[in-house]
Amino acid sequence: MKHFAWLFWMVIFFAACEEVEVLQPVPITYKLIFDIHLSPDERSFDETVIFSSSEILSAIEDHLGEQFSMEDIQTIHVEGLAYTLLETDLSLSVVNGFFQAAYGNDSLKTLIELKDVVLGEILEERQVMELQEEGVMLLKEALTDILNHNARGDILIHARGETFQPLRRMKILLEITLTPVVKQTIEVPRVL
Amino acid sequence: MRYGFPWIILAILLCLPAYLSAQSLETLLERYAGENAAGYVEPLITAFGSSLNSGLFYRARVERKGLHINFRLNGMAARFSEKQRHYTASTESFFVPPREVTTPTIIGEPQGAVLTGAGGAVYVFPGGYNLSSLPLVVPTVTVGNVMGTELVGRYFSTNAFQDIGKVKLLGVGFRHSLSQYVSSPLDISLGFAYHTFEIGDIFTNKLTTLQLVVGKSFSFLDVYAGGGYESSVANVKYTFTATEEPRTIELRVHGKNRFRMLVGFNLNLLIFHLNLDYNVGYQQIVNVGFGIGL
Repeated sequence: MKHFAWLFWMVIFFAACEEVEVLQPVPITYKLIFDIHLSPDERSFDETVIFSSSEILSAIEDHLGEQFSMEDIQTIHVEGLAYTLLETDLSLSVVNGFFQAAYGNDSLKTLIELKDVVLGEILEERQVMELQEEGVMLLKEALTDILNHNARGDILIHARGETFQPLRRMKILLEITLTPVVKQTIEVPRVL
Repeated sequence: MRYGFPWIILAILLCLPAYLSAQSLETLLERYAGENAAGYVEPLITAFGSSLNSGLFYRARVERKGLHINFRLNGMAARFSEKQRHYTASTESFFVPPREVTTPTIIGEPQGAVLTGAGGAVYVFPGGYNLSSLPLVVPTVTVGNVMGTELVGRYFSTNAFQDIGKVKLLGVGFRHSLSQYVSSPLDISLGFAYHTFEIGDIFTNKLTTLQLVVGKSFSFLDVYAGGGYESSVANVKYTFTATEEPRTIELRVHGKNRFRMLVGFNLNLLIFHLNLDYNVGYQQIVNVGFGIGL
């Protein structure tokens, strides 16, 4: 009996709860609206939207919820960006331009570039774009400062460009996905 | 930290809510909106299914008639294989270019794959719990016998874990002697069981198994071997908040456990019964049972 008894305990006797630190991405997407108006003789535009440091911070805090605190964030990444043309008054217009970011004393850095975009072809269709390195680096720097409560002001996002048609209005939704990575300490069962 | 019996049963139950809590699972799954999530959680579904389909009997013999009642505590450990620790997942969301990568499942390494895309964009996959095994402790009751048939039941329900809501296990089954119909030096029986296992609103697992057991009983020792077919299907429900307006995701995940072979023995000492069996299938299970009964 004694020799066999340990077999029963084998499964449960050597089991226990152990802590494991798991790195979890907690992606969050911000939405910015650019409502662009041009006068009849204008062919270029430059609309700026403030990507507020305090709003970014509070949105991340809300998103993390009660399970995590800001101190649990190990790093933050820029994951991707998409834009959607919500409205336009001239679908035939062709637009060339950029979405650019400015932060602190840095000059404008390009996030994405728009080349020969026919507005009617992308209306209400989300466009997922390749990011440009200079813009990503600037955002990453700004986000790191924000998380360290050391922000040098807000991030400014510019929609800049030109068209050769008499375009009067465009409304664009810009979506930016950021990914804070948090360390989650959790107890899991362990059997030797 | 280690615990000894009887605290270990409590310890296993107490650390259940931590890694199976709705918050914890939702955080892990939040990264995923579709097929990735199913591949990510599948090893846990398979392990639960394989474990709960174990330990339904401790010998092959079923007497034709007479009182038979046995209360048993089964300790099971599902050993995860190396191939269960990873799977192929795809990037989602706005990450460019879309890619496939090998990354940890929910029981894999704590650090998920990290991909760098166009312009330095980064996509991070969730890590896993780094589990080598999944231990479970399950109470089992066997009652019989009528016309060579015994009934098997399992039940456990608690609201003790505030983080995850109600944890409930219900299992019912039977085993019928086939050797009563044929002249055979061996005991042969066929058993069927159905389980439901629920964790709060997030996880519902339904299991079925059909098992054929062959064995021989001696005065104080029973030896048995068998095989079976089984299925495990789980519904996983969580809120996806990553990229768009929050929405409820409901996944139906099939465990990969289908067939098993097993071999085991049981030791009888008066009213005490101690059995051990080793189950080989997609998932390897060690089941140890300690029971009291006639």
